[in-house]
Amino acid sequence: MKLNRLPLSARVNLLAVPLLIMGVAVALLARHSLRHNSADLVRAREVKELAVRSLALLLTQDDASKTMMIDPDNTAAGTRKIQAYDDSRAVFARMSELAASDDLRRLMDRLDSIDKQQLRPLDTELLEAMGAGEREAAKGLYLGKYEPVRTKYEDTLRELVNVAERDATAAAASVDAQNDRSVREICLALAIGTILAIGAVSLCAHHFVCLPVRRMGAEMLAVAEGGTYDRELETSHRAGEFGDSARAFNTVLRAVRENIAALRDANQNLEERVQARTHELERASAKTAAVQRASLDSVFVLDAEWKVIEFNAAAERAFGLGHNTILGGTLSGLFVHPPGSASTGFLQLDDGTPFGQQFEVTAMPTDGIPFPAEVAMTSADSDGPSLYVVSVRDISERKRAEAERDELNARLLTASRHAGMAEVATGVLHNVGNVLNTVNTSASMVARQLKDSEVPTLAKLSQMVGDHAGDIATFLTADERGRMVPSFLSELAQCLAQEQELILAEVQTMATGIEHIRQVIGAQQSLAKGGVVRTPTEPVKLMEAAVSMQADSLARHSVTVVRKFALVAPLPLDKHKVLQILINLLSNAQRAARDGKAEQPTVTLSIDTVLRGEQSYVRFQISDNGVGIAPEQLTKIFSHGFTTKEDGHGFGLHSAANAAREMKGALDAASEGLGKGATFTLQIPTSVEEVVQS
Amino acid sequence: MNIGTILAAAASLLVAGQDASDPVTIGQKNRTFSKPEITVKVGEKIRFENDDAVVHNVFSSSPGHEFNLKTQKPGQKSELSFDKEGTVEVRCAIHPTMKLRITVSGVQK
Repeated sequence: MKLNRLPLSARVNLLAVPLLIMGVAVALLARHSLRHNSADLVRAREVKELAVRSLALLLTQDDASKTMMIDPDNTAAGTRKIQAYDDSRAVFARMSELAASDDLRRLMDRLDSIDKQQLRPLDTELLEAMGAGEREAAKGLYLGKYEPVRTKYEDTLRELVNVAERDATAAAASVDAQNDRSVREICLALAIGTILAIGAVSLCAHHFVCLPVRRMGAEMLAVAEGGTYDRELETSHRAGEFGDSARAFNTVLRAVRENIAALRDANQNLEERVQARTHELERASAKTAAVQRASLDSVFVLDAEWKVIEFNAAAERAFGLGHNTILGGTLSGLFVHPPGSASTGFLQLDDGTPFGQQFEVTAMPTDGIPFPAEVAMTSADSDGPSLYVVSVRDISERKRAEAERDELNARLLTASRHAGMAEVATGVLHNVGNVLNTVNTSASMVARQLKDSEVPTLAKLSQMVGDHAGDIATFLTADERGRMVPSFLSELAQCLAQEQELILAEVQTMATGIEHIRQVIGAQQSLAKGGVVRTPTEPVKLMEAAVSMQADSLARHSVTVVRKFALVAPLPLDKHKVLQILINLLSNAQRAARDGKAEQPTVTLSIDTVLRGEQSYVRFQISDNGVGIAPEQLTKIFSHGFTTKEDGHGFGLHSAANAAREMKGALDAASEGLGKGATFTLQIPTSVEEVVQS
Repeated sequence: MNIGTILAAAASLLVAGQDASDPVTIGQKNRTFSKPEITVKVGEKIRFENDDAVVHNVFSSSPGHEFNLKTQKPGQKSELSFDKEGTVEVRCAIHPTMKLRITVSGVQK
C-alpha cells in the first residue's frame, strides 16, 4: 500500500517511527555501555564470592573428613565430603576463568599445587588408614602432616579472598568513572537522535500530513471562493480521514447546490409573486382611483392628523372645490355644524369620532346652498400611518323621494283599505257563491219536485169525489173509477210521502247551505279579528258535508267519489273554515275530473293522521284524475288572483290557504303534470290550546 | 531403594553362587572403578569387588537409587540391584576422583 493512500491516523502513527528508532538505538547504546562498564565489577565480585565459597567448601571437606575419621561408615559425611569436593573443583574452575589479576592467578596456582601435591594425597592416605582400622597411624598422620598442610591451604585461600575483595573494590571505582562517561555518551546520542527524529518526523508530517491537508484545503478554498460548487473533490486517491473529509465536503457541495437551486426557485417564485402583487396593487390602486372617480358620492381621504390629503371629482363637484383648495385642511368648513350637535363629531379625530356609523348632516358647499348629506367614515387598514376615509352622499334626491314615498304610502294605505274591503267582499261572494250553487241546486230540486208533485192529482180526485158527493157510496162501489179511489188514495199518499221526504231533504240541504253562508259571512266579518273557533268535530262528517254540497254536480258530471277514511276521533277544528276549504277543493277536483280525459272521472277522498316531529296533524287529501297542474303553476296556484278557470276569480285557493294558515295548518298541492291529475292536501294540528267546547 | 533393601541385597551376595544369573562385576583397583559407565536392567545384580590394596567406601546419593556399601576392605565383594529405571552416580567416599555411572533400564529379568 502506498503511503499517500494511508488514512491520516495511520500517517500520524507512522510519525512515531523515527522517535521509536531513536529511542531503541539510544536504549541499546546505554545498555551496552552500562553492561560493559559493570562487567569487570561483576566478574571481580563473583571471584570474591567464589573464593569465599571455596573457603567454606574446604571447611566442609575438613569437617566431613574428621567425621569419617571417627565413623568411617558415616554415609552423610561421605556424601557431604564428596559433594564438597566436586563443588570445590567447580568453584576453582570458575575462578580460573574469571581471575584477571596476576595476584589472583598466582594464588590460585599455589592453591592448586598444594591441593594436588599435598592436601589431597594426605586426605586419601588418612581416610585409607582409618578405613583399614589403623587409627593411631591416622591420628599421627592427621596431626603431623595433614593439619599443617590444610592450614597452609586455608591461609592461602583467605589471601585469595582478600585479593578478590580488593579487585572488586577497584572494579567498583572503575565502574563509576565509566558510568559517568557512558552517561555523557548517552546524552549526546539522545540529543543527536532527538534532532534526527524530529527532523524525520517534521519531514514526514510535512509530506504525509501537511501537504495533503493543504492541498485539500486549497481545493476546498478554490471551490468556495470560485463558487464552483459542481467541482467535487477527488475521493478515489484519498483514504481514511482525507477520504471522509472529501466525501463530507462533496456532500456539503451537493446540499449547497440543492439549496442554491431551491433558493433560485424561491427567488424566482418570490419575484413572480412580487410582480403579481405589484400588478395587483397597481390594479387595486387604479380600481380605487376609478371607483373614486366614478363614485357619485364625495370621498375625502384624511391622514392621521385628520387633514385632507385627497378627494375625488364628486367632492369637487358637490362642494365646488377647486383643486388643492382643501388639501391639507380640515372638513369643518364644508358642513353646517350647530354648536353641541352630535353629528359634527366627525369633524375632529378623537374618542368620539363615530367610525362605522352613518349619520345625516347638512353640507355647505362653497356656493352657499346647503344640501342634506349622509356621512360614513372608516379607517383604512394600513401598515403605515393611519388613513381615514369620509364618504359624503348628497341625499337631496332621496329626501324628496322619501317625501313622495310618504305621500304615496298614505294614498296606498287608503287604497289598500279599499282593496281589503274588496277582497273581503270577493271572499264572501266566492264562498257564498259556492254554497249558493248548492242551495240553488236544492231549490231547483224542490221546485222540480213541487212541479212534478201529485198534489194536482189529489185535487182532481177531490174534484171527482166532490162531483159524486150525493151518491158517493154508489160511486165508490158501482162506478169503475170509484172503485179504484181507495187504492189510488193509498198510492197517492205513498207518493206524497216520498215527495215530502225528498223536499225535506233538499230543504235541509238548503238550510245547511244557508247556515254555512251565514257562517261564511260571519267568518269574513271576523277576518279582522283573526280568530279561530274550534269545536270537537269528526273530520269524516266535514268531508261528507262537503260531498253532499257537491253531490248534484258530481252526479251531473258522472264523477265517481272514492272514500278512503281512516278512523279519526273527533278533533278540535274550526269546522266552517275546514268545510269552506273542503268545498273549495272538492269543487275544483270535480271540475278538473270533469274536464280531464279520464274514461271514468274520479275524485278520491282520504282522511288520516300524520306525525311531523312531535306534532300530530289530521290530513285531508282530495285527489282527481283530471287535467292536472303544470309544474310552473304549482307555485302560483295559491296566489291571489291566479286561476286557470275561464269563470274563476283566483280567490278560492288563496283564501283556503289563508284559512289553513289561520288554523296553524297548511295546504299543499301536488301534480305530476298536465293530464295527470292533482292532489291537494290539507293538514291541521290535532291539538291546540284555544279550544272552545260547544 | 532404601538402605534396608540394599543391605538385604548385599546380604544375599554372601551366599553367592546360588543365583543362576551372573551379576555385572565392577572392580576397584588403583583407586579407580574398572568401568566408568555401565548399563543394567531393572533387578539385574551388580557386584562390586575391591581388587585394590586399600579400602573403599562406595555409595550413591542419586535420588531414588541411594545406597552405601560402607567400608570395603581389599578383596571384599558386595552385590546390589535396582528396582526402577534411572541413572545412578556412584562415588567412593575415600577417593573423590572415583566415579561410576550406572544406567538402569528395561524390565526386570
